[in-house]
Amino acid sequence: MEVSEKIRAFIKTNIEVIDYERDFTDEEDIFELGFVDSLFAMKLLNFVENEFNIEVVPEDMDITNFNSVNNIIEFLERKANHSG
Amino acid sequence: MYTTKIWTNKNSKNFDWEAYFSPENTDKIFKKMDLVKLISQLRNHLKEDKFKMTFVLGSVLRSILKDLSLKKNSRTLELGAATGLLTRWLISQYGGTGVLVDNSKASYRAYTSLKNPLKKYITYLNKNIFSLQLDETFDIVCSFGLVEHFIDKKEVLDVHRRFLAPDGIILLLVPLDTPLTRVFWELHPELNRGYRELLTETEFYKILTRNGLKVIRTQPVFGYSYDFIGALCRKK
Repeated sequence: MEVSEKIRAFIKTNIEVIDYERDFTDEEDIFELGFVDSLFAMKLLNFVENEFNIEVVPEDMDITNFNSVNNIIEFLERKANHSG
Repeated sequence: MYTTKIWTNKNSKNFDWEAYFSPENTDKIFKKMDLVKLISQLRNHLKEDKFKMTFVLGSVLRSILKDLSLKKNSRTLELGAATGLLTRWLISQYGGTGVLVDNSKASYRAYTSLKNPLKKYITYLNKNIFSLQLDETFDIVCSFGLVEHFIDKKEVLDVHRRFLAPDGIILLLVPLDTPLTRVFWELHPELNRGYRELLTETEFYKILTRNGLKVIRTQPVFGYSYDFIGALCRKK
């Protein structure tokens, strides 16, 4: 499964948990769309760490790294480039 | 990218830099400022954001709790809990169960309106923390934005200690005294109700150690609309 598909699948699972049905693009800010709760941010962070085997350090804890599918992908690529 | 809005001549080659930096020009600029618009813009830049708060909170808690092995299925007590963000974060990361205590009806209503699956692990007590009677102690006693509202720090910290298990931990988060934090509260009088002290890291540390707590770690937090500081403590 492509990285973007994994991320989208995770987000959709959490949207279903709180009973919202809404599609979204890879560019859209998932937090501003109003269908995730505040703790989703931490769930997303845990998912990114576990699924892609990275460590999110304090300097990474910027919401703009995680607020859209594309931003998450770019963040993962930057992490990979720094560790490579 | 963000562009600051500066009054400037359309033709930048002819821009009069000498006049721009003159005290007379500065005075002219101040007199033309739309202060209502300015306040509105500043309030928009420095506003509460629950998602940003969760990231920032996560960052400080991860730093504070690093290398600490929390007891499995820890029992958490959050004082002055509002909607219990701290407890919900802890349960989402480490499991366990929690008790939230807050005497505000508005806070309780806000909590009950949350659609959060973690609520099944949480009990909410709409009670005053100073008259709280519980027959148990807790592995974690915590508060976020509580201690700063009390002049008598001993009294409020004693409540934290009273319900702490002998080998338990206390987690405290309070606003940090920095220019940004002072500006935030000046800009938001509707949020700035009641007594509130902003503490420096040194002042916070002294208050904790003088009131029966051993400070394991402190962590100032930047990156939100105001700065705050977290502390991990145990009973002395």
